[in-house]
Amino acid sequence: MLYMQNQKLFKISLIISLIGTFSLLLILEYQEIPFYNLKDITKEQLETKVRVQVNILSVKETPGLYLLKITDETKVITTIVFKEDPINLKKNSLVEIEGKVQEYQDELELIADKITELK
Amino acid sequence: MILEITIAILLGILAGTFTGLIPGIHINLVSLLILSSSPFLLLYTTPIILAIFIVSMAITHTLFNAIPAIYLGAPESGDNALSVLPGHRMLLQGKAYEALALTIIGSILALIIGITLAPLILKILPKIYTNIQDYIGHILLIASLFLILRDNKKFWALIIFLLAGTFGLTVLNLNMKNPLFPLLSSLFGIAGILISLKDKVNIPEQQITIPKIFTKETFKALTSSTIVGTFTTMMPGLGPAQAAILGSQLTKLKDSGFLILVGALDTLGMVMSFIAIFSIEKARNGAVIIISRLLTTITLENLILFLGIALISGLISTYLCLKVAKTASTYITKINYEKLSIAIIILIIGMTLWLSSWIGLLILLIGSFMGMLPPLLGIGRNHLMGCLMLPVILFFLL
Repeated sequence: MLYMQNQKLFKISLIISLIGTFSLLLILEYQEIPFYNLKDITKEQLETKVRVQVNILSVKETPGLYLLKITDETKVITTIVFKEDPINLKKNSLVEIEGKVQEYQDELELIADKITELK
Repeated sequence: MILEITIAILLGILAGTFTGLIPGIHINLVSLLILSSSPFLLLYTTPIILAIFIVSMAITHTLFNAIPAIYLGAPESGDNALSVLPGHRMLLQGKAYEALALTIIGSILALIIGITLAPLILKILPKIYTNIQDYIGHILLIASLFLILRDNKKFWALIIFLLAGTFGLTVLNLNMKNPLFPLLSSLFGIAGILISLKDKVNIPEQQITIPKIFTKETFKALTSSTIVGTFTTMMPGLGPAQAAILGSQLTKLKDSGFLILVGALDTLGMVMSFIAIFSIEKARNGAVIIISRLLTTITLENLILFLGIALISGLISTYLCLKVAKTASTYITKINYEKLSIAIIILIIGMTLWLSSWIGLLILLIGSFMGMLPPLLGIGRNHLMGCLMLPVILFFLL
């Protein structure tokens, strides 16, 4: 009896897991990461992902992190890059950054997920 | 200065007790709250004092999170998702206090070992790391395959790993707030509670028995924790839970040894993360990320201070944790376990809605069903860790 019950629960769980994961994949597929000018990023976007095209003004290093000052002419903000992947970050290069908006000491900043250099 | 440090340590212990006792609250979440309130806090204190508070809180958290893991059968996030197995078993035998004491013994002894070995680890860590850093993805892949192949039902273990992996990969890439909270608290929290509700768990009268500390089992558990703990510090994505499985493979352990191992790896992981940020400049958890931001440079003096603070707060927390566990042992049979479990589920749902909105609820629903699959199949829940392992492996290999 208990075995039958478990069988049923197992099937339901498996089906929900599969359909659920598939529908999340669909949501992900159709979800675009919005493009922003730096001045338009507000607390509304906190903890969500945005895309920006910016110039790197300076690169500062702390243990575990790089801190980049970036600008797109509309504003200057800080971006955090974790030192997991050795990336070549140069001053004055034009890049597209995909990252999460976070607040640090009353200022909004980006935690970079992906940085692509633009030619 | 001394007064400020003392206050910071005590407040850290208080905060860590609180975050450790609430199931589902992860140290990274608390760190996030501190990060956003740091401008306010820095008006009253210096970065170093704030860092001391965080160290003290983080260490206390790693001790106290064993209480909900053992007494509630609701593992606190993924980090100690494994202590639920032997720990829960002992709860059902009326020996929850002994299970907790074993975890605490593991934690505090690992803390002492970690601090004693710190000079040696500081020397060898960068050397090992430079040699293996190009192979991190491969090593993680081999570790995952090893964990899958050691299971009796290899096919299902692989399916669960891949399913959880795809789920985790999708969730972590969605544009949403705090994806980790619904992801981990459904797979490891709600799913476990639902299983124990389904099986109508009856908690027997609890006895206060004290385990022997210096046994061969303790020695074996601590040796493998130290080796595995040092190794996993260099591996992003390998948290204390995966470390525990790897560690228990090094040597055959009984339930008591396993509990010591779980406690040891959780606390040792935190100590090692302080060493890692200093020596290989890798931030392994939220607490360390904030310290790195607050201080910008971490000197050897800072590290020594942090290790000292870790030891002091660890010792005080050990005492407090055993006190709280004694009380919990008395009351656990008096409260309605079913109602408590349901209350925790409601708390997790509420927090998900607050932290991650409706999409968080969807993830919570899917994860709760997915998390029930391993116990229903009779395989290890550690395969669900694919939700973090697969994204990390792909990050390094692609």
